[in-house]
Amino acid sequence: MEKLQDTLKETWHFYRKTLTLVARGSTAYYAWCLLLLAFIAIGLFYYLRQHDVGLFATNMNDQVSWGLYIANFTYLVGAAAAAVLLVIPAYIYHFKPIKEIVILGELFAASSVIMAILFVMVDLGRLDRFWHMLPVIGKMNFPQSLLAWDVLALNGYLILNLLIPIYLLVRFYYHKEPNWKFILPFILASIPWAVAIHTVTAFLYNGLPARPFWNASILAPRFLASAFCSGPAIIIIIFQIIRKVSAIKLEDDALFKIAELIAYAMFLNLFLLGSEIYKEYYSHTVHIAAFKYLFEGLHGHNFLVPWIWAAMAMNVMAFFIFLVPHTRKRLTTLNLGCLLVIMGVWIEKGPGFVIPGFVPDPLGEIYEYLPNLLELMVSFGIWALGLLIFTLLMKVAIPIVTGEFTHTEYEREIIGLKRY
Amino acid sequence: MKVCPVHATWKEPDGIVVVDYNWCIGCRYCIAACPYKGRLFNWGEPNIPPEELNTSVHYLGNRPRMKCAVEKCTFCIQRVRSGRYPACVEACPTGARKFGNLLDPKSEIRYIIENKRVFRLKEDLNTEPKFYYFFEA
Repeated sequence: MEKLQDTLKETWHFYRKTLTLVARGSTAYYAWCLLLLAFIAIGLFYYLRQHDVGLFATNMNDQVSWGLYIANFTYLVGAAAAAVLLVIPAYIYHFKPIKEIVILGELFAASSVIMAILFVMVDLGRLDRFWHMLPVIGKMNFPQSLLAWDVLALNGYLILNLLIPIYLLVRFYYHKEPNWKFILPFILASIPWAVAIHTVTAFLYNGLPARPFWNASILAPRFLASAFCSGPAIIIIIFQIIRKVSAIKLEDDALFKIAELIAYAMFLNLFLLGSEIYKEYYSHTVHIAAFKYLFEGLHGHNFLVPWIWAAMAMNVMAFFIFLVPHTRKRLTTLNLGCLLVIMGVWIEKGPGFVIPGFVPDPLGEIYEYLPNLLELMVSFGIWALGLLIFTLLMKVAIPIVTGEFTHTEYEREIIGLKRY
Repeated sequence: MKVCPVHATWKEPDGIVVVDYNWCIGCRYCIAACPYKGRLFNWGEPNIPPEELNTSVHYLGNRPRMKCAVEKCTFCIQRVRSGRYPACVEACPTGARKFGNLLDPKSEIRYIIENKRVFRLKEDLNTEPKFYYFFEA
């Protein structure tokens, strides 16, 4: 009985302390959260309008039937998969500087998956029928539909990336050594699972012969290569911010190691893209139309041309920044490289990938798609929500990792009370 | 059909591919997958004045469509199932459209396929479309 009471008390203490941690912070923290909340509110407002009017409220149409939402979804799945670049060196090679931050990386992955799932949800015409996709109560078309695979893969990855860090944090909280026999299988599973989520997302597009632009075998490797550029780049930036605003210590070595991995990934990414461009331009079949639309413009339609060339320039510049040890190991150039990668890959894997799949459409019609204000605002809202989730997770996770927020405090209180 | 995550579209035993407008979640994956642009999406709330509504309807056919769900040509399932031609075939003033049972060797459609110049779109995709274009040599 007393034990149960203790457990309840401890749980209460944990929740109270968590709430205090989340609710208290510097002015910058409040400002940041308020800013995010404002974006979330605006996004929600616009989404409600879209829900009311229908997808009519967006700039998508029968020619370009997926737009900014699915572009963001594709990018974020990649960002989430990238956490594996921290998991492998941390748990398999026991590279100490990364091992200290891997939990934060996993929570970043979880936040990214949440954003990715939300982007699919807002893209659905009938959110009220979302349950049709669930197994048992709905009629999930598994294993036929790749979209069903993606639902399973993303949710599985989300569960793994919440379970592992939360388990480890709870153990740290109690000052106990994690039971590796229990958690290691999950950690090991998360590695192929990360590869799987992005592969399945690539296959989603890849399996459609109706869209020659996507129907290239090289797609899944390309997806993985670009994901292993952009995700780690975001992580490098985030870790530097965390290091500035919290007590956590992050060694530069960890950042430089991640940057080195980006250099390899970016080489692969550029190489695979080059291979695809060669094949399309040299064989010069009718399938080249989408590539021409993207890189040169087609029949005077060239919305995407400046974007993709900017992305190409950013990716190549970033590659050299990360390749040369001198620029990779200086924080200013490192951060410049990260920003270039984040933007370059977003353009390439987001709008630069989704839209040319629809232009020209199967009947040869050309419709140029640009997202409208509503789509932008809903997208900003989802990004803001993801960042807010990540911020709050960090607010609790970091004090546990650094040992400021533990069970012992509570124990001291108990001892004090007993003495009294 | 196999791309649909919720089994909302299928081929009927008589060969007509249909959509359950009440079950479609509006993900538009089938629109991305269709090589013929045969599927369209109701981007907003469809509004037909009550006096213009056709009261002879079929669940899989010409009933008022759903907001934000996918739809496609049903070959006027409510007509062809009762032995009539699809409306476009009946209305066409030049007889350019034909409709019939491909399995019936004595049908008009089989005569056309066997005796006219015919082609199908994107045969290399192996979708075996039952939509033939015919012309005089």
